[in-house]
Amino acid sequence: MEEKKAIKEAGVERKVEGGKFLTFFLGKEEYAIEILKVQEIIGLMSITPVPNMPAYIRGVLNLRGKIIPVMDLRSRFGLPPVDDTTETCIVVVQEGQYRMGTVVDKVSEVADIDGANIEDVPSFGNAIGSEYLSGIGKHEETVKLLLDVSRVLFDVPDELMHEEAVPVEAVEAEV
Amino acid sequence: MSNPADTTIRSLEEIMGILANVWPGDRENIMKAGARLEETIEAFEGKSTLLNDLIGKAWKALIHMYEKDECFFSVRAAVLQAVNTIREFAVNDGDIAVEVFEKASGDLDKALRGESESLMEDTAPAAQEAPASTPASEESAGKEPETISAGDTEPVEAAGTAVAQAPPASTREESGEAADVSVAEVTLDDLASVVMQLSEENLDGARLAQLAGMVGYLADSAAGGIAPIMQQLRGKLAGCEERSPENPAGFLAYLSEKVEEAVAVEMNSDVMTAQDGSAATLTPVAADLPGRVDEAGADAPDGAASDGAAPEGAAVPDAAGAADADSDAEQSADFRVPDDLDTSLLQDFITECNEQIEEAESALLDLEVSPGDDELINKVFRSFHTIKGTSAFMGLTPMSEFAHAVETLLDMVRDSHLAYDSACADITLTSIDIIKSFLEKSGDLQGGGVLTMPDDYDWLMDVLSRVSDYGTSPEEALAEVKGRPVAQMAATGDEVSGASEASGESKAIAASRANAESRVVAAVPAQASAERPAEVAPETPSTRKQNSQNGQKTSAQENGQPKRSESEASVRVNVERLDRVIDMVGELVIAHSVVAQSGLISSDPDLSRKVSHSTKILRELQDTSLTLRMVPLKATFQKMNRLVRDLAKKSGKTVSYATEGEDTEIDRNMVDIINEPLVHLLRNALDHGIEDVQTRESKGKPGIARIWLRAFQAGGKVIIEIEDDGKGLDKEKIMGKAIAKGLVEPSRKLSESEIYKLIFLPGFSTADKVSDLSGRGVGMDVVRRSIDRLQGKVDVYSKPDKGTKISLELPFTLAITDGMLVRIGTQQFIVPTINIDMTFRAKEEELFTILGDSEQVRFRGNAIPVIRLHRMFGIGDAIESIDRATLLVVNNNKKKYALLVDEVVGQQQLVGKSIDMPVKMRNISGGAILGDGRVGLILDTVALLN
Repeated sequence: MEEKKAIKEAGVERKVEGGKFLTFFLGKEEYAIEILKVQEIIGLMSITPVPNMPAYIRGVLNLRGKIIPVMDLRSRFGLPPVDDTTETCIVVVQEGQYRMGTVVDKVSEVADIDGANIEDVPSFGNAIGSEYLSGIGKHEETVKLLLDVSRVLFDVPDELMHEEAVPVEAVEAEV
Repeated sequence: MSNPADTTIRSLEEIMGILANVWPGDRENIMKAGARLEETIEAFEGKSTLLNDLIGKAWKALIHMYEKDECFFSVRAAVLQAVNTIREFAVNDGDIAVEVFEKASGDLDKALRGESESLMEDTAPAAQEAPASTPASEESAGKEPETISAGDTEPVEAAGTAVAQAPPASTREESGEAADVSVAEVTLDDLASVVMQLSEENLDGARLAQLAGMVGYLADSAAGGIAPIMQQLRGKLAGCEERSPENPAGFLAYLSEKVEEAVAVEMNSDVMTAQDGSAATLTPVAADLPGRVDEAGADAPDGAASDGAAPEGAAVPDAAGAADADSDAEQSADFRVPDDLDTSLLQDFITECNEQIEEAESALLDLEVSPGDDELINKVFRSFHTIKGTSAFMGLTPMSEFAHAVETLLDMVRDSHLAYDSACADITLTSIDIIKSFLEKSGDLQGGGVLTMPDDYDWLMDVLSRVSDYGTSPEEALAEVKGRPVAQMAATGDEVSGASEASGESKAIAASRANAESRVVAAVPAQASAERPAEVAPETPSTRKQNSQNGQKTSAQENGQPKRSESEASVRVNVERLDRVIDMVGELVIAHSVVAQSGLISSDPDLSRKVSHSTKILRELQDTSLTLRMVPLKATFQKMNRLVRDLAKKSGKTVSYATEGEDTEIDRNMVDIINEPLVHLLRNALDHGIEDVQTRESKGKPGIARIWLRAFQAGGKVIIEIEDDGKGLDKEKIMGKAIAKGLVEPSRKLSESEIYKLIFLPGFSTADKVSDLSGRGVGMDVVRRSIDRLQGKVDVYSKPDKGTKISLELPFTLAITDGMLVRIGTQQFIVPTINIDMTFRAKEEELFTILGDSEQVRFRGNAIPVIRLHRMFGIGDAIESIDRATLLVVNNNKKKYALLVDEVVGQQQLVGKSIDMPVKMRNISGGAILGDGRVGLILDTVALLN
């Protein structure tokens, strides 16, 4: 858990550099993730739901023997849910040794966005999701929203984070 | 040699033969001997004055024997020695050390003087030498005394005076004591010097007869522990008289060994009497013994009768043994490894030796519990023997020599010459540490490189040689050798060892076993131990007796398992390859099951059968491959065994230590990581948790504290518990410390367990003192980090004055679980079979609620709570009515409850995997890949209850 926090914190200060990004659609908006953080893209497969999870966690899936969580990005960003289509797929993102699958509506392309074309995110006020963005990139006449992967993966509202704080009642053992 | 010489020699031998068999009153034979001696006197006329002097004395002695019976045997022995010396002179054609003569001469004097002062008519302060002490009744041929006093008597006299000096002094003092003491020491030393002069060539009937005579006397009359040894020797000699033994070398070795043994025993008893404050001259000698030995060794490395040379009386052990001690007295130099060291073999050698050492160590720990177990001793012996051999083969001589020294000690234990007591255990366990140290240092050796000696090498070699060569008791040896804080060793009063109680559950303690011995230790500078034996004493006799009566065996047994099996045949495999194989097999199984579920297969019965067959084989393959990486916690627990024992000793507390579930397996990758936290937790328990004996007793607790280390699988996890019945955690203190260090807001309200968990924060420590064991606030932090790495949980339970239990919950990364697949709605979950008691169906009527809240169902006469998973998990399409559902009785740490599920699908063997969710899962402990490739979530049966 500490590592996650560290990664998250590291991401805060970093200014996005130019480079290759994988772009995809959520609805009409186009998002981008640094290509180095993308492990693979897989088609929609059987996802096992996990009980008592926030709505944006779809569940877990089996990735060649490893069980990884799957996140619904639409839900994460507060977008209304839609049905899965044939174009829906899962982008497996990695940060450090953590991996997560993210469900996206449609994968677009690998775009080469120049650093000069990247600007800071203007504050949108209360819009959910603005804190997950690390910048806005211009590419071929279109605007792509650059995602801050570590924030997306690990930023969890405090009430949901309960590794240390949960007081599992100390059941006095039969000493 | 010329013929006359031969005749002389033969005459002398004859004399010795006669004398050996002579008894008081046997005048005829004494006469015969005397006559023979007279002849030889002529032969030696004009030769060395020393020689003639000796002959004269011998003659007088014979006369004494003829006339009187007092001190017959000692005189006889002295004469034998003298005659032998003369014979040596003849054999070697005069090439004999002066000391030999002096010794023989001196001994004769002593013997003769021993009975009455009156014989020494002109013993002006013993200044006069032999001539002066000539008995008045000198029937000697008369020539000799004159010859002696004439000519170059000076040097002889001076030397002789020196000799005479000591004996009179000691004799005078000793004659006040039981004359036995002086007689005994003369004889034993004589025997020793006679034996020393023996060689394979001169071992003939006459000598044997002489030996037999001396031994016979000693066997009958010697004090204390010497007699039995002499009796042994007598027995051995019994068959050999009149002819040479078949194996001269072996015979001689045996002789020397026995004599040294006897000398050592004598020395020890001298030490004892010295402590009692007797007036023996031996006191200063004995107390200085360590130093003395070195000195003597340094002075007379050629093994001659050094006690003749140095004026300290006769209590110095044979120089033969001294020579050894001498070399160890200096710091052993670093060892230069042979140039042709085969480095490719080196690693294998180190690995193998490490294995041997581990086996030896665990056997030794068990041996402390059951000292009489021969098999254990043999095991240890074999290990050291192997190490000795292989290290010799590798050219690592110091290591081989060391192993040999330990082997010798073990041999003594094996032959019941030495009891395996606590001091012995300390020595052997330290030896193990030294070998470990050797192995570590050898890791990077190249041909021609330098192997530095481990720190404790020298002093332990010293200790070992004292025990083996001189028969010093291990306890005394440890106390004597400088360079080791005696107080540490003297804490033999308290220790951790084990013997099974009747319950077969825990190891009991043998508190200060060596009560008698520790008294001796206390006499030698070791004040620290003074109080301990006293307070623990009351428990000793009874506990000890109980332990030895139990004669139960090892921890393997106390866990209800069969006796520890011999090591199974095994093969070393590269770990990476192993991992790859396991991963591939896993994928193969899944890929195959996807094929197997294809519609094409199921529609063709023949094909279906074949596929199903291969599925079965694959499953088995997967199961086996997964076990390849699992290792039992046994090895880890054994390391803890040793740790607890050493810690308990160091801290001076008495602890009973029990382990359970050492056969629980975990992934080998986790084993290394779990080691450190366990060490820290055990240290903490011992250092901070357990109070010292007085405090415990004043609280009404048993003086012997208890510590448990347990491992088991539950709720789909591996649980390791460390529990103690010490003073528990102090909530206020912890809270106070945390607030003081700014780790917690003063206003925050924390639950009890949250408070306890504060101790895991970095920098936290409530220890008032920092011992080197713990207290720096670092240990618990390490624990927490390691557990995090393993993605586990730590829980702390504590009750003031009752104890503390720390529970580590580890997810199995690759632990195989037998799981029961259950369906709730459209979702499937896995319940670890180990926690399932049974399934049953109930009727609505059997359900009832308590306080309108928790549902209970009647099961086998008891009421157990019902947990509706569909409600808990928010699964909409599940069966809700009891009548149509199935109840799964789950058993957790004796707490039962019933899980309401739609149906039980079937049982499967699964590989449990932990899932790294961004949000921590509740009630789910992990997942597994099901046969159809989907993920099945494994229920956390423990968490469900809360």
